[in-house]
Amino acid sequence: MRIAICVKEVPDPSAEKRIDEGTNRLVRAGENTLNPYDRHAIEAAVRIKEGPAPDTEITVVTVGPESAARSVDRALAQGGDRSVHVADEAAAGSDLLGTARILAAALRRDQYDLILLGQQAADAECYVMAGLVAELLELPCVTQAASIEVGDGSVTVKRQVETGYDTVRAQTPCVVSVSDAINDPRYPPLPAIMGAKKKPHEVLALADLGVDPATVGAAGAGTKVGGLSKPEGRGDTVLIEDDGTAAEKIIEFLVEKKVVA
Amino acid sequence: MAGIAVLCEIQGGQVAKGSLGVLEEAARLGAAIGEPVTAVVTGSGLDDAALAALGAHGAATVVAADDPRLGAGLAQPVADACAAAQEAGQYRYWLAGATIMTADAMAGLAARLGAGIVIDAVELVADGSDLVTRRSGLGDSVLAHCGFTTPVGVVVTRSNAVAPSEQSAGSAPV
Repeated sequence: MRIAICVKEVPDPSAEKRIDEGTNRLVRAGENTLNPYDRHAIEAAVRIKEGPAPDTEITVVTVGPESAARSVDRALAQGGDRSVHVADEAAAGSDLLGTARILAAALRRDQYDLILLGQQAADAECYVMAGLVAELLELPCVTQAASIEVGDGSVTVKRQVETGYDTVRAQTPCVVSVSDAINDPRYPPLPAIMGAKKKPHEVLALADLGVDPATVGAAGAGTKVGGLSKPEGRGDTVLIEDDGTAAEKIIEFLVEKKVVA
Repeated sequence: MAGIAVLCEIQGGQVAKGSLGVLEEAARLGAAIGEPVTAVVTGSGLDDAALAALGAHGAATVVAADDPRLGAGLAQPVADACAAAQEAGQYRYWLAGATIMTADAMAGLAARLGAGIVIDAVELVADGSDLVTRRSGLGDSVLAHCGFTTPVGVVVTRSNAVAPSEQSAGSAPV
C-alpha cells in the first residue's frame, strides 16, 4: 500500500504570533514546528504499516519554504519512509486553493492508495484542505476520521460528526483527514530522529510539477486580505486580580449573576 | 455572475438553525450590495412547504435538490448538486454555516469552480457592491478582512456565528 501524508510547518503554538502589516501574512520567521494535527495522520499511517499492511510505503508531502525541511524530518522520524517537498518562492502567499493545487500536483506524480491529512492546520485553522485536494484529484473524500480500517481496495472510516459517528466505506484511492481523537501520536526515539535525514528527500519546484505560477502563490490567490482589525471587546468583562481574595470575589460575582445560590 | 446562494443543511428533517442564520445574514447583505438571495437545499424527502417557508428568512428563491444520495451525510454528492445549481444560477457568492458536511461540500465546490474560499468567517460586510468577510485568526485576536479576486467567492462562516431570528411569515418560490 502506498500512503501519502500531507503535512505543514506551522509557527510553534507556544510562540507569540504576529501578522506582517505590509503583506497581511503571518510572520513565519520565528520558531516553527510540524503541525501537531498532522502527527495524528502520520501515526495512523504507521499503525496501518505495523498492522494490516506491512509492505506500506509512507511518503510525507509538504509545500513550504526550505526551512520546512525540519518539519519534514520530524515527520520522517515519526515513521515516514520518504518525502516530497515543494519549495518554490512563487508558492509563497498561496491561499487555500493555491496550496491545494500544489499538493494535488505533487500527489498526482505517484499512485497513492491513501492520502491522509490532519484535521486542520494549527496556524490558519484551515479544515477544508482534504476536501479541496480530493476534488482536484477527483477522489473520494472522508473527513474527521476517528478510526480507519484498511480492506481490499477500500477503507472503512468511522467519522466524528456533529450528531455522533458515521461509518463510511470508500474505495481507494481516496483522501481521508483524521480527527485528533484517532490516536496518540508516538514520540520518535533518538535513533529515528537521527535516521530521518538519511531517508530519501525529493525537493521540487513548481515547474517540476507543471504548475503554472500564475495559479498559485500571492499572484494566483482567489482571496485577498484588504486589512486587519481587532475584534470588539466582549463588553462587561470583569478582571479579577488575585490579591488573596480572588476566590471570594469570583463567588460573589457568580452569586450576583445567580449562577450559584 | 449575480446573486448569493446559501447552502442550507437539513438536520433532523428541518433546515439547520445555523443555515437559517446565514440565510438571514445573506438577505441583509444582498440588500446592501444589490444581490438576490437563493437558498439551495439538498436532501432526501424534502418538504415543499418547509422549503417555501425559507422566504421568511430572506430567500427570494429556493432551489431544492431531492435525492436519496443527498440525505446520507456525504459531502461530495452535495458538492455535485451545488455545482449543478451554480451552472444554472451563475451565483456570485456561495455561503454556508460551518458543519462538517457543509464545509467539505463548499471546499469541493470551490475547487471545482476555481473559486476563492474563506473559512471561519465571523462577520459578513458589504463593501460597495462586494462582499467582504471578517475572518478570525491568531486565537481570535485579529480579524482579517478577506475579499475575493475570483468571479465566484465561497464563504464558510464559523459555526453558529450568526443566529436566526424568530421569523414566522413569508414564502419563496421553490
